[in-house]
Amino acid sequence: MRRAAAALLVLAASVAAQTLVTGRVEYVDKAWDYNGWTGSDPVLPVRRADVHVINGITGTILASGSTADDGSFALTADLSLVLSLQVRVDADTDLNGAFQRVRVTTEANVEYSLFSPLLPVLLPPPALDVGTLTALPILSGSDEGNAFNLLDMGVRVAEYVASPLIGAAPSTQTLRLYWPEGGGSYTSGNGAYIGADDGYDDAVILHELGHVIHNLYSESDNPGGSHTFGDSDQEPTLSFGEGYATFFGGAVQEWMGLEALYMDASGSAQTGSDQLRARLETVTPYAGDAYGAADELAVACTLFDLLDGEASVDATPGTDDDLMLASTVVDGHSPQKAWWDVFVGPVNSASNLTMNHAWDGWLALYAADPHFAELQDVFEDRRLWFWADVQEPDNDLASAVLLPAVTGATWTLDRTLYWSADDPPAPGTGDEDWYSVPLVKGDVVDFATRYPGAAADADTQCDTWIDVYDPQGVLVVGTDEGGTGRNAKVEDFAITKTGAWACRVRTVNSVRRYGRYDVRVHYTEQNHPPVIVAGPTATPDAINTQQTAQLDVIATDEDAGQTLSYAWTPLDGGSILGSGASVTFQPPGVAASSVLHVQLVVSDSLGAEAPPAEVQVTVSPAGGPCVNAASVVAGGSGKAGLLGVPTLGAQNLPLLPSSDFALHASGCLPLQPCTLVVGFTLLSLNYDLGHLYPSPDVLIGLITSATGEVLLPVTLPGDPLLCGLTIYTQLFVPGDPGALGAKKTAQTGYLALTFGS
Amino acid sequence: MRATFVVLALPGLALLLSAPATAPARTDHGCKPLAPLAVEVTPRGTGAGPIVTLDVAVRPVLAMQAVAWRWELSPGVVLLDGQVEQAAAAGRGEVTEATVELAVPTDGRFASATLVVAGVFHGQDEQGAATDERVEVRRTTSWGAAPLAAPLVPAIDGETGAQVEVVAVPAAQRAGR
Repeated sequence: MRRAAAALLVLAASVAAQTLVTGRVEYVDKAWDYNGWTGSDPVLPVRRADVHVINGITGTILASGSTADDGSFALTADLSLVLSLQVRVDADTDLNGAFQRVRVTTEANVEYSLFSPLLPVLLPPPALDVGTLTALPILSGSDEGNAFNLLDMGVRVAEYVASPLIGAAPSTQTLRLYWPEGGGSYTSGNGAYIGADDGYDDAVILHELGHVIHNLYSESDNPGGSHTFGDSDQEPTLSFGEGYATFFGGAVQEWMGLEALYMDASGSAQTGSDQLRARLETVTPYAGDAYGAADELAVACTLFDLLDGEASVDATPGTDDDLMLASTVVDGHSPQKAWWDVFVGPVNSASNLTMNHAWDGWLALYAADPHFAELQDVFEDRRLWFWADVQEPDNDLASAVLLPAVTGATWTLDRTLYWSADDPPAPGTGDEDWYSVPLVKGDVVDFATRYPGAAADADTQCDTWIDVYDPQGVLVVGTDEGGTGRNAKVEDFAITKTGAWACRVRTVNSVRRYGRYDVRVHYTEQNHPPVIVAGPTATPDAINTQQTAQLDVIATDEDAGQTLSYAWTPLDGGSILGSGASVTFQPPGVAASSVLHVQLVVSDSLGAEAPPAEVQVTVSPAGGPCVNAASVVAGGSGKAGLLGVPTLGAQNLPLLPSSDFALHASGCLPLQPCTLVVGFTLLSLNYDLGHLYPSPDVLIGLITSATGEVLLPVTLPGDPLLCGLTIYTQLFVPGDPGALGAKKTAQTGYLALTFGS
Repeated sequence: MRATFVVLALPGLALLLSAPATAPARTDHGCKPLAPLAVEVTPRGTGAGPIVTLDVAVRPVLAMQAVAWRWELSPGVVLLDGQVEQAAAAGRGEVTEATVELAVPTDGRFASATLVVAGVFHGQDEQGAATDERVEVRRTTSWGAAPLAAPLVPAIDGETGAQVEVVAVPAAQRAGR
C-alpha cells in the first residue's frame, strides 16, 4: 500500500511537472575612473549569459536559456522525478539567440560558471524563484578579476558593433576572452588574453577586444611587441593597430555614456593605483607630446575625434574640440557609421595598414561628400598633416621653390610630403618637394631634413630622402641617411659650380608615404664671389689700329686670404698685353671705325667668379693699306756668348708705310762681325749646339758696335702686297769665345714680324 | 533578509587549478599600452631555479623628473644579490641596467618576482596646463602557474552534452521565494 501511494505521488508529480524557474544573476564589479579604482564595488547584472537548470543529483540539464538585460532569467523545466536542482550560469552567450557568441575561459580553455546552491524539490511547484546569484571576484595570486566582468565587456563590445550606430552582423567566430594570462594582456586572432592583473581593467579589456574586432571585421598589419604611450616614433603599422584598439575601447565607452579613457591600474589594489591613463578627448596628460601618425595615442585620439560629439562625456561638456560633430552627416551616414564603413572597406583591403589608409579610405569612400574641412580639422589636432604644404605645387625642377642657404640655425618649417591634384585631394602618395638653392663655387654646405621643430621624439612618421642636382640639372648625390633618426643629410658637400643648385625631398618608403619635415641648406663654409667695384675702363677709349688702350678694373673679395684672377678676353679681335687688374689692349686692324668689346671675368682662389663685365674701345683705321694690324712676336731661345745670351727686339711695329721701324740687338760681343738671318718660314733646326729658327732666305752681314749692339733701321713702303706677310729673323754672332759649338756662335731668339697698318 | 554564502559544496570533485612542475621562467610579453618607461627583465638562460639571474634595463621614453624601481617578491623567492630598490636615470633615452640574483622554489609552487618601475613626468592637457603625472610599469617573472582561488568542477556542456570541467566562480546568493 505504501509502495502504491509512492507510485501515485510520482505519477502526480509527473503530470504537474512544468515549473517556471526564475532568478537573477549579477556580478561584483570594481568601479574605476581617471584616478584609478574608486573603492566602490557596484553589483551589475550578468546579461545574455547562458543559464541551465540542472538536476542536482545526476547533473543533467533540464532547461537552458539566457539572462535578460537586468540579469533575470525564467526557464520552464520538467522537475518530475527531480529531487534537487541547481542553476548554472556560464560565462558564455551561446544560447542568446542570434547574438554574437562571447565566451570567457581560462587560458587552458576551461569555462567559468556560476552555480546556485542545491535546491531540494519535494513537490514540483508551478514556480520556483532561486533568488539572486552574485558572482564574486576571483583571485589570481594577489590580482582580482571576475569572469563575468570580462563577459560583460565582451557583450558590450558585441552590442556596440550590432547597435544601430554600426549595424554590423555578428561574426561567425566566437569572441573569446581568456583570463588569467600569466604573460600579460595581448590578443591573438579572435582571442583576447587578459593579464592576471587586468581582470577588472575595463579599458585594457576593451583595448584587447578592439584588436579582436580589428581581426574579425577588418585586417591588421600590427607587428605587435612592447609599446608605450609617449612614443611618437613607432612603426606606423604598430601605431595604427594599437591606436585603433585604444580608440575602439573609447568608442565603446562613449556609446555606454562614459568618458572615453584609457586606464590601467594595479589588479591587487582597491583604490587609486593607476599605472597608465589618458583622456582620449583632451589627450591628457600627453597633449604636448602625442603627435603624428607614428604615435599610437595620437592615432587613438584622432580616430576618436572622428566620432565623438558635443554630448560626449568629457572635460568640455556641450562642446566638441573638432569640427566633426555628432550631427555631421557623411554621405548619409553618421560619423560612427561612416568610419566603420571605411574600417571594413578600404582599411580592410590595405596592405601595411597605417593611418594613411584611414585618410585615403575616407576620401575615396566619400569622394562625393567628404567633409574635407572637418576631416582635416580632426587630423590637424594631433598634427597628422596629410595634405599639401603651402608651397605646393613644387613637384619638379621647373617649379622649385627658392631655399637660400643659411649660416644660422634657421630651418624652413612645416613641409609635408603630400600632393594630389584630385578632388578631394587623395591619395597624396609620391610627392616631391623641389627647392632651388643659389650657391657659389667654393661653398661647402649641408643639405638636411629634420623632424618637425627638431622634435626629439620624431612627432611624424616621415622618412625623407634628399637628392642634390647641379645647376645643369644633373643628379649629383642622393641619400636617405646621414640625418638624425630617419632624416636625410648630405654633409660637407663642396660646391663646384656657381649657380642655382636644386634639392629634392621625397620618400622612398612605401609605408611612411606621408608626413612632416623641416629642411635647410646650411653653410659649413661660405665663399663669396669677387665684386667689381670700379670699371672696367679703357684709357683712351678711342684709338686707331696703331695705338693701344689701357684697361683697368678694381675688384674686391670679402673672404680673407683670397687672391683674385682677371681673365680679359677680346671678343672682337685684338690682343691683351700683360695680366692682372691693368692690361694693354692692342687692337686688331679694322676697315672702318668699330666698337670692340673686351670681356672681363674676375675670379677668386676657389674659382668663384664675379658676373662677367665688358669694356668697349672704339678703334679706327690708321690710314695704311692693310686691314690687318702689324705685330711683333718674340719666340725661341737664344744661345749664350761671352756676355750672355744676346737679345733681338723691334723698335715700333712694322707698319706699312713707316720709317721708324728698326731691329735692335744687344748683349753681343763688341765689334764683331755678325749675320742677321731673314726667312719666310720658321724652321727651328739644330745649329752649332743652338737653333736656327728662320729659313735662311736672306743673310745680312753686320758688325756689332763697341757697346755690343746692332741697330738696323728699315724703311717700310706702303705696298699692300706686304700686308699680312710674316717674316722671321734671328741674329748670329760667330767667333764668340764664350759660346759653345764648333763655330762658337752666340745666338738670339727669333722675332716674327707681321706687316700691317 | 539577505543570506549570503560562498558555495563550497558542489557536485563532483573539486580541484584547484594548480601549478605544473617547475618550468623555465615566464616573462611578460603583453601588448597592452605601457607607461612611457621601456622596461626589460631578461632571465639568463632558461631562468629555471633554484638560482636565477635577471638582467634589468630601464629607459624612459619621455623625459622624467624621477625614476625608481623596486622588486616585489612572492613568498619563497629570496633576493641573493642586487638591490631591492634603486633609482634610475630620468633622462629621455638614458638606460639604467642592473642585475639581481634570486633563489626561487623548484617544487612547482607558483612564485613570482615583479619589478615595479615608477616615474614622474611633466604632463600636459590640451589647454597646455601642466600636471605631474606618475606612471608605473610592472614586469613579472614567474615560475609555475598562479593558482586560481576557484575550484574546477565537472559539468555537462550545454552545447555538446559532453562531460567537461568548469571553473566554479565564487558565488553569493540572496534567497528567492
